[in-house]
Amino acid sequence: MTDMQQKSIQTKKTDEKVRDNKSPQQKKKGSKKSLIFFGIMVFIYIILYIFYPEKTYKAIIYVISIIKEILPILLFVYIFMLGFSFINEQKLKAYIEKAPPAIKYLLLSVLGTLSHGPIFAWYPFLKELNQKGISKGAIGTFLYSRGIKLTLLPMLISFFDIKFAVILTVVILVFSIIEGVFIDLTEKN
Amino acid sequence: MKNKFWQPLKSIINNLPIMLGIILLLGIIEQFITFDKVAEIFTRRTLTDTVIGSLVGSIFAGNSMNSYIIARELQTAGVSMFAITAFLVSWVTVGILQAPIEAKMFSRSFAVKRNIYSAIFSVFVAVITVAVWGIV
Repeated sequence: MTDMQQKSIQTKKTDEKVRDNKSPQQKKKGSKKSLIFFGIMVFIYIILYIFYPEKTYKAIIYVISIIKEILPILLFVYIFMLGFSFINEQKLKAYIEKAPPAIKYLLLSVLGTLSHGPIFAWYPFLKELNQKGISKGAIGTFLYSRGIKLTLLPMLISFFDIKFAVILTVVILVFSIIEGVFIDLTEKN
Repeated sequence: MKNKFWQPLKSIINNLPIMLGIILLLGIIEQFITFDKVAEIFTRRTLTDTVIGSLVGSIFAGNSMNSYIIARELQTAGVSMFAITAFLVSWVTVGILQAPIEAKMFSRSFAVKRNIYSAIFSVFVAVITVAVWGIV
């Protein structure tokens, strides 16, 4: 086994460690912070209710109205998320490695759009692609296109409208490629 | 297979505390500060407001669901769609919190440039999106 191959295996192992160990920790930390934030908000409501019962009651009514509006949308979000979880990301990754350079921007943009889960889980894969010769610009394209949240389209459509959601999605997709090109023009690979 | 059905649900449930926290915060803003007051930080000048929207969105991070909820309230308060769109786009494309990891993985200049470009492009994305939305 050559030094290069050994180094590549070692990098892979380290990356897997990052993916396996760090992400759940970060997730736990994140959910703890979320619960603390929620707890603080509930506490503030209790205090406010003591001093301004009428206004706080109106705030609670307002909160309930938003929750009522959002709950059915979350069902659609779940259906969308479920649908996208059946897409074979591994196959798409394999295509990217073989694709010609110009197509790589487009494929990484598609993969970024379809990718889900925390971004930390994707960094080792992106680093691996970079080591295999995929430009940093193409990686920038992936990261930018993650801004497209297909699973949340039902919410975006319900809050604004379908025309807005479609136009925004297409424009972000185009700009993900523009950002990739800009990074490649200004950043050493 | 069972995991496939559970995973998306888990993801939604994990986001619930922060989402409910933000909705509770919105309730306080609505009753005690009012969204009209919040809207006053915007100047009603398209480009300035779009830049403000982009800067505000760049500072915040987290699940996009929360940005949609905030954006909808801002829209109700009369904030321009240019500013709201820039806010939505920079919320998801600029990652100040992830920048140190990005810098470690790829390089500091990559992380800095990517985030600066993303913030600038959020203004362009907003202007183009809202302009096309108005025409179509």
